Amino acid sequence: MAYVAVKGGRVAIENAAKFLEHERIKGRSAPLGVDQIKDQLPLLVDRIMGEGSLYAPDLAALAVKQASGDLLEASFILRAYRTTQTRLGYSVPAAAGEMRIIRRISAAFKDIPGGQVLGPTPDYTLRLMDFGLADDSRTKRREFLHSVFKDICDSEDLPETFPKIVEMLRTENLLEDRTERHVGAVKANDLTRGSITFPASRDVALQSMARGETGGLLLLAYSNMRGYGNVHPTVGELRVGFLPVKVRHPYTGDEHTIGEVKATEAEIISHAMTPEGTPKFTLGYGLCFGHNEIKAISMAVLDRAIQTEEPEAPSEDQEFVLSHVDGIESMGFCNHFKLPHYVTFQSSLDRTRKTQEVWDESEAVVD
Amino acid sequence: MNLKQWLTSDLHAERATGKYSFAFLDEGTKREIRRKILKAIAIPGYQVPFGSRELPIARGWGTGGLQITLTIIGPRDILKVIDQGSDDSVNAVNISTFVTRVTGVTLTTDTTEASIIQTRHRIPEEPMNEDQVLVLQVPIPEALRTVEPSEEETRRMHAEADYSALWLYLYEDIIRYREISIGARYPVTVNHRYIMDPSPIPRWDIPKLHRAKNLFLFCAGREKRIYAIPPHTDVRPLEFQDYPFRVEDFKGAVCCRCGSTATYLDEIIEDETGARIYLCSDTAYCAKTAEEQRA
Amino acid sequence: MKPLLRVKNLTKKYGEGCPACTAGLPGEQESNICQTCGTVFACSGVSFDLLAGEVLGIVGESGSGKSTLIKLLNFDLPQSQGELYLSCKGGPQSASHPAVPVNGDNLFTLSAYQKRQLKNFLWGIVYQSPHLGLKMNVSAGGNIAERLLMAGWRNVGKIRERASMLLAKTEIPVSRMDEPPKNFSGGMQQRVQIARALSNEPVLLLLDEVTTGLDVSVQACVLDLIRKLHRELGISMLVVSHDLSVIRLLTTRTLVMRHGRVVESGLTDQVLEDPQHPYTQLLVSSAL
Repeated sequence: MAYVAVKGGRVAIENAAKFLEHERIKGRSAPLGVDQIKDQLPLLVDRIMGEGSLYAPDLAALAVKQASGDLLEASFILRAYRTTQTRLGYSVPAAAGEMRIIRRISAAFKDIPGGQVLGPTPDYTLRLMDFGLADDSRTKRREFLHSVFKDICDSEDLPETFPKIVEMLRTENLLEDRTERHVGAVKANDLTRGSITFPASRDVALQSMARGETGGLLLLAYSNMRGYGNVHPTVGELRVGFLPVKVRHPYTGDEHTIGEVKATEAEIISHAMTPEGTPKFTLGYGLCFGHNEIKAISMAVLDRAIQTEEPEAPSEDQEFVLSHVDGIESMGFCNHFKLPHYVTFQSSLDRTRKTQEVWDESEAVVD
Repeated sequence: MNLKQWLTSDLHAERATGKYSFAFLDEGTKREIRRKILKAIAIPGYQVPFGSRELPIARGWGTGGLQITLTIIGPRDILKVIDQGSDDSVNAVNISTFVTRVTGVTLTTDTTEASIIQTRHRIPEEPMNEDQVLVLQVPIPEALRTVEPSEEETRRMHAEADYSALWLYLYEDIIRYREISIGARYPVTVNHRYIMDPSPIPRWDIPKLHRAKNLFLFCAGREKRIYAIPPHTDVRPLEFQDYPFRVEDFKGAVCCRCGSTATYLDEIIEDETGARIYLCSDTAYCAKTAEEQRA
Repeated sequence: MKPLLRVKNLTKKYGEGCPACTAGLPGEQESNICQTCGTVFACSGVSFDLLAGEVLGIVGESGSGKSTLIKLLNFDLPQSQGELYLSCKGGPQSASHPAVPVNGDNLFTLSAYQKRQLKNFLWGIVYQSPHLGLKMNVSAGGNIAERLLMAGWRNVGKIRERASMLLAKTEIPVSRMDEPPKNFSGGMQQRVQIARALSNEPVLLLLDEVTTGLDVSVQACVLDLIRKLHRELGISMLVVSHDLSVIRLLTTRTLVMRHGRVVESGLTDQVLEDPQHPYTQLLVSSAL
C-alpha cells in the first residue's frame, strides 16, 4: 500500500535507508577510502567544498562517499554539518595578489608580466577515452612520475607574486572608477547569518554566488553569453592557487596567518558607459573555493550582468539570479514535491469539482 | 528543571545527544530565532526575515518548522509531529526521529498531550489550549506570490497595505469560475492589517486560526521567513459579501474507520473500478474516536 | 475662491546639479540642460492653479516636459523640488476615508501609503499608451474593479453594477466587460482607461496625450466622450497634448511649455489667436 499506511510507515522509511546503503556497498570492490577520494578526485572535492560552503577537504570527501557520488547530496551533507559549527570570527580580507599561484592566464593579452602559467588544466587535452587508465597501478604511477621529473634540470622559480592585469588597466585609466562603491574594508555582511533582501549589496551577491551550484551558475551565465544579455566578456585574468587565511590576534591586534585555502579567482572585462558618456572597461569578479574555473568565470559574468543599469534578460535580474543559484535550496524544493500532498490535492479536487458543478448548473439553466 | 540542570542530570546521560548541542542548533542561532519569533508575535501576520540555517533534512522538507521547534523546545516538552494529519507519514517520522535524537524528548500522537506540535499542511481536529504551540511548516510564505514574483515588490506591497492585486485576482477568479478557485494556501487577513499565507492547510482548517487559544508559529526555512498568530487574534479569510469563503464539501461522506462526518477526510481510491473510501486525515483523532466508540 | 489644485515651483532634474543651477536653470536658456554640470531639467519651476470644474490644457512639443509634469502630479516620478496642494472635500467615495488628507498639506510630503489612497480616490489618470494604464490580461471590468477594490468595495455584484455603469457611460458594450482589453481596438482601450479613471468619482482627471496615435475618426469619438463627461460630471481636467486642435476643442485655459518651463499661459482662445511668446507664435503658425 501507499507509504502512509496506518502503521508501518516508520519501518518502511528505515528500510529505505538500509536499501540505499546496501546499493552502495553490495559490489565486490574494496571499500572506497576517504583519502582515495581526496587524492584522486580532487576537483570533485573542490566543487563540494564550494557548494557546501565549508573548506574541509576530508569532510567533503567523506560527504561524497556518503552520498554515493550524488553531488547535490554531498554538498547538502557538508552544509548541514556547517550549521553545527559556531562562528568563531572573521578573517582579515586577503588581497588576491597574495595568492600562491599554480595557474594564471589571461585571454586579454598575448603575453603578460609573469607569463602565462598554464598550470594543471584539461583545457588543451584531447578528450579521448584513456582505456589505459583502467589498468592503473602503483608501479605505473611511479614510472610516470619518474619520467616527468627526469629531465627537469634547472627550472626557473615562479615569481613570488604576479601583478594583476586589471591593475595595469587601472593605471591607464581605462577601468570604470568604482571606488565609491567599494564595501568598507572592515567587515562584509555575513549572508549566512541573515536572509537576503533585494536589492542586495555586492558583497552579499558575491557570497551568494560563491556558495552557488556550479551548473546553475553556468546556465545563467551561458544564457547571457549567448545573447540573452550584454556582457560580452573577455577573461582578463584567471588564477588558481592558495590564498592565505589571516586572523587578527584578539589582544595584540597583530595579523597572523593560520593556514591557506585553495581558490579560483576570475576577473572578466566587459564594456560599459560611464555617466559622462565615455566608454570604459568594467569588471566582473568571481571567487570560489578549490579549483573550479567554470564556476569562477560564470560567477564573474553574472556579477557584471546583475549590475546592468536596465536589466532585461533573466541573467541581468539580480533578484532572479540570486534567488535561484543555491543548490541546497533548489534540490530540496524540487525533491519536496515527492512528499505527500494529498491534503492540498484534496482541496484542489474540491474546488475543481465545485466549479465544474457550478458551470454545469448554469449551462443547464441556459438550455 | 532548566537546561543546565538537565544537562547534568541522569535524564541526559540516559538520552545522550552525542556530539551535538541540545537540539542541534548552537546557542547563537537559538537566540536569533527566539528574538525573531518575539518580533513576529508582536506584529501578527508580518513576515520576519531570519538567517535560516541548513539542517540534515532537505530544504523544502520542513527545515523552517524544525528550526522553530528546535529553538523553543526544552527537555520536558512533549512533541507531536504530523504530516498531512498523520503521525506515521514519511516526513513526520523523519522529523520526529531527528528531534528526539538531538533532544531526547518524549513523543506522543495525542494532540491533547503534546506541548509542541509540528505540522505540515494540517491543523489537528482537536482544539488546542493556551499551553500549547502549533508550529507550521511553510513552503511559500508569501501570500502575494500568486500575483507578483518579485520579493522586493511584495515587501513594498505589504508595507503600504497595497493588496488590490490579490483582491483583483479573486475577482477575476469569480467572474471566470463563479467561485474562488483557491484550494489550500487560502489568504487571510491577520489582525485587520497583514495578508498572510496560512501554509498549504486546507480551507477546512482556516476557521481554526481565528481567535484561537494557542499560539501559531509559521516558518519557511528555504525562503527564510518567520511569522506568527498570537492567541485571540482576528484572522479572516479574504472573501466577498456575495461570495463568502467556503470550506471543502465532502458531500456527506463518512470516515469508514470511526464514522465521523465532521473531520477533514482523505479520499482513497480502492481499486480499478474507481470506488472510493474515506478516512479521517487526522489519524490519531480518528483512532481515538474509534476507540471511544468501541468502549 | 481657492483653486482645486495648486502647483508651486515644480522641478524635476536628472543629474547632480551644481552651484550654477541649484536655484533653477539660469534665465531664458535655449535648452533645459545646465551648461556647467550637464544636469537635465525635465521640469523647471512650473507653477499654476487649476480651478474646480476647469479644463486646463498643457501644450508643447516632445521634450517640453509636459509628460514629466503629469507623471510628477500622479506620483509616478519623485519630484526634485516643488509643492502640490489640493483643496476639496472629495467625491462621495472619499468623504469618510481617513487617508484622504485635510486640506493644506503639501501632497509631495505624504507617505507612499497616503499618496496611493489619494490617487485612488481623488483623481484618475489616462495615459497615451493603454499598456501603461491597464492590465492587459485582466478583464475590462477587472481593470475598473481594481480601483474599487483598493477603495474597500467587497461586494462583487455591486462592483459589477458600477463597472457596467461606467462602461455604458464610456460607450463600451457591457457584454464585453469580462474580456481582457488586449482584444479591444485602440479607441476602446482608451475608453476603458477613462472608465477606470472615473471609478471612484474623482474630482480631477489627468489626460496624457490620450488621443495621440488613434485614427482620426476614433480620436473624434474619444474627444466627444471627454467633453460629454465634463458636461455631465463637472469634473476638472488637465489635458496634455502636442496637438493644438485637441487643446482648442477641450480646454478653456492653456499653458505652453518649452524646455521644462511654462513660457506662456492664458485663455485658450487668446493663446491660440494671439500668441505673445515667440515660441507659441511658432507653434501656432506651424499647425497645419
